[in-house]
Amino acid sequence: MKTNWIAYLCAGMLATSCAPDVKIFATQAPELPIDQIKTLVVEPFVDQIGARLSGPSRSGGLKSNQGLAQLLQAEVLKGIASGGSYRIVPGLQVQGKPLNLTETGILRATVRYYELNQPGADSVFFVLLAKKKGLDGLSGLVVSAGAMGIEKIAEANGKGFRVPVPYTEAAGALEVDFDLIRASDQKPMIPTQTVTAYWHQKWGGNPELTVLSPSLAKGFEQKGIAHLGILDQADVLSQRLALKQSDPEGFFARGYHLKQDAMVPLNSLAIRSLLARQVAGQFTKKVARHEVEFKLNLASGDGAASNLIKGGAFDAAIDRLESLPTPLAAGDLYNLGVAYEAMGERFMAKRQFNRGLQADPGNTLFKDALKRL
Amino acid sequence: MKKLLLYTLLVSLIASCAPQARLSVQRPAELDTTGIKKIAVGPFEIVLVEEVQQTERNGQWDVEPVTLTASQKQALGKQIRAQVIAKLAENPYFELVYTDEFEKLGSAKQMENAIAAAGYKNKEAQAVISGKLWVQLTKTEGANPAKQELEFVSGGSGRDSFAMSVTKVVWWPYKSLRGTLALELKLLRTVPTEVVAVSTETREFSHHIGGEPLGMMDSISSAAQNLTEGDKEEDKKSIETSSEVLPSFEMTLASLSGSIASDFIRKVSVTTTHLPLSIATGGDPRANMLVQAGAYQMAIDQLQTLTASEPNPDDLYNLGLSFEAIGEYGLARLNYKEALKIDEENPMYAQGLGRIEKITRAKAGLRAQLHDKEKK
Repeated sequence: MKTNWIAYLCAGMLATSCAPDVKIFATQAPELPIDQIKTLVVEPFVDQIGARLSGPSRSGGLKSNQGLAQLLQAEVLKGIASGGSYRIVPGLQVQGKPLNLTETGILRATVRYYELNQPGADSVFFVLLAKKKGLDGLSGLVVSAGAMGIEKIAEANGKGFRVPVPYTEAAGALEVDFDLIRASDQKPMIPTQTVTAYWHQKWGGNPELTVLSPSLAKGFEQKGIAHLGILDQADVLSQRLALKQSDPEGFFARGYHLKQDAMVPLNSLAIRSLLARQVAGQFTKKVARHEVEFKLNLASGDGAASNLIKGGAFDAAIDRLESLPTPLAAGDLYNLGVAYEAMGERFMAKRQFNRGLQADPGNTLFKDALKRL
Repeated sequence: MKKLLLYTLLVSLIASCAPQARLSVQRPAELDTTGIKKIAVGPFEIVLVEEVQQTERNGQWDVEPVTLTASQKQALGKQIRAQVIAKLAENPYFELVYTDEFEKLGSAKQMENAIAAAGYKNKEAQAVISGKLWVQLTKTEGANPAKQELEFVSGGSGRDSFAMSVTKVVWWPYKSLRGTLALELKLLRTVPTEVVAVSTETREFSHHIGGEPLGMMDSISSAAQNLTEGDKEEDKKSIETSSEVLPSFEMTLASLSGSIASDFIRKVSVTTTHLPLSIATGGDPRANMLVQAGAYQMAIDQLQTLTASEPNPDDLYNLGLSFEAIGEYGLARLNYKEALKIDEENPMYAQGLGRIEKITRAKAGLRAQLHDKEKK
C-alpha cells in the first residue's frame, strides 16, 4: 500500500514536471522535390518473401519470412492523405474528369520483413544464502552488500541451483523500396527510396543472453527504434493526462483509456504495426507535406505575457508584448516570436527572431528558432 | 523530500477535487469532407485474425493457436462494421444510406475498381466507407521464478537484536492478455472518384494478473499507466479490468474498435466534445453552485450584479465561464480579460482566454462545415 502511494506520487510528479510551456505544430514541405504531380495512385505493395535483408547487420543474413505489405500500405496511405499534398485516386481510370497523366504519380513498393517471436527459457544460476541480520546500521549494510556481492559473483560463475527462467524474445526488421513513377511515361520521378526500421526486445530470462547472433544483436541495438526512457515515458504520460482534461473524447478516440501493462510482451501485430508506422512516417516526410511538433519552453520575460502564451491566449499575449516599451528585452522578443509562430504567422515570427539576432548575433535561442522556421 | 511529496500529493488532490463545469463545444472535422452528406458502408475485409493461447510450465512453452472458422471471422468483420455504422448513425451531419450494394462487390479493392469504372452510378451515396482489419489476441499463463528473502527468526531490540533470513526461489503464477487491433478505414467519394480520408490506427490493450510483487520502478511505471486509464465509474467506454479475471475476446475487441471508430468520425465530421473546465472557488459561493449545477443564465444574472459593484477576479472568471457555456464567446472573452487585469499571472484565467481564442480561430472552418452539412 505504502509502495503504491509513493509510486503514484512519483508518477504524478514526473508527469507534471516534464510538460513544455507551449507546443507548436508546423507544416513542412516534402524533403524531395516532387512538385510536378497533383494526383497519386497507390498500387498494391508487394511482399518479397524469401528475399534477403541488408540489415541491421550485414553478417546477420536475415531473410524475409512474413508479409507486411498490406498494413504498411494502409499506414503510407494514411500519412500521404493527411498531408493533403495530393488527390489520391484508386486507379488511373476514375469517374468524373479524366486524369492528366503527366501530373499523376504511381507509388509502388516492395516489402521485406523478418520477424522473430521466440518464447523460451534461460538456465539461470541462483545462489541461496542464509543471512545473519540484526546488526547495527553500518555493519548491517556492509554485511548485506558483501552477501549481495558474493551472490552475484557466484551466480555469474555458474555456482548454485540452475533454474529455468522463462522469457519471450521478439524482433522485427522491415526494409522497403519505394518507387514513384510518372503515369504518362512510366519513368521514375525520384530515385528508389529504401526505408528501414528495426526493433528488438526481450522480456524475462537473462537479459545478457539472446537467440540472435552477437552481430545481429548489436545491429538491432544500434539501428533499432529506441525504447522510451523514463523521462520520455513521463512526457508521454503528461501529454495524455493533459488531453484527458482538455479533450476527453479525443483521449478516448486515441485509445489512451485502454489499460497498458508494460510487463506483457508485445505480440507480433503490435511490432508489425510499430515498424510499419515508423517506415510510413519516414517515407511520408520525403514525398508529402507533413506536420512537425515542436515543444518549446518560453524565455524569462514579462510574466503576464508568458502566462497568456502558456494558456493558449496567443492573440492577447501579442497585444500585451507589443504594448510594452520598446526596445523589447531579448526574452520578450523571443516570446513574441513564439506567440506568432503558434498562431501560424511565420513571417511575423521570423521578423521577431531576426530582430533578436540583430541585437545579439550569438544568441542560440533565436538561431534555433529561425532554423525551425 | 517527504514534504515535497506531500505537497505534490495535496496539490494534485486539490486539483482533482476542484469543482468543474462540463461544457459542450463543437469542433471542426480534421479533414475536408465538403459536399459529402450521404454515406454508405461497404465491405470490411479481414486481413489477419489470430488468437493464441500460450502456456509456460517450468520453462517449457506450449503455444496453441485458437482456430477460428470462416464464419467466425466474417462475424468479427461484421461486428466491427456494425460499430462504425452505429457511430456514423449517432452523428447528425451524415445521412447513412442503408444498402448492401457495395458490400456485395467483394473486397475493398474490387469495390474501388467498380466505383472508379466509368458508368457505375449510385444515386444515393456520395461516398463509401470500406475497412481492412488485423486482429491478434495473445493469452499467456505461466509462472516466473524470483528470489524472495524470508525472515527466519528474529528477536531482541537495538544492539542486542538478532535475526536470520533465508533466500528462497519462489514461483509466481500469472496470467496475461494482449489484444491488438489495426483498422484501416477509407472514405471514397464516388464522383469524382477520389480517396477523401484514410485512417489507419492501431489500438492495444494489455492486462497482467498475478506474478511477482513489483519493484519500485515497475510500481512507478504501473501507477503512471493507471493515471491515464478511464475512470471506471464514470467512463463506460473502458474495459472493466479485474485483478482476477481477464476480459473476453469480444469485450477487448469492442473497446479497441470503438476507439478507432470514434477517431475516424472526428477526422471526417463536426463533433461535439464535452470539456470539463475548472470553476474558480474564491468568489461568490451561490454563483459557484449555480455554475456547477449548469444554471448558467441564473449565474450570469447573479454575477453581473456582483461584479458591477465589487469586481472579484474569481467571480469575473466564473461569469466568463457561464458566457462560454451558453456560446456568448465575445462576452466570455471580455470577462476573462477583466479577471486577468486584476490577477495577470493566474493560469486558469489565461486558459479561459486561450480557449476562447481557439474556438474563435476554429469558428470560420466550423461555420463552413456546418453550413455544408446542414444544407440538403
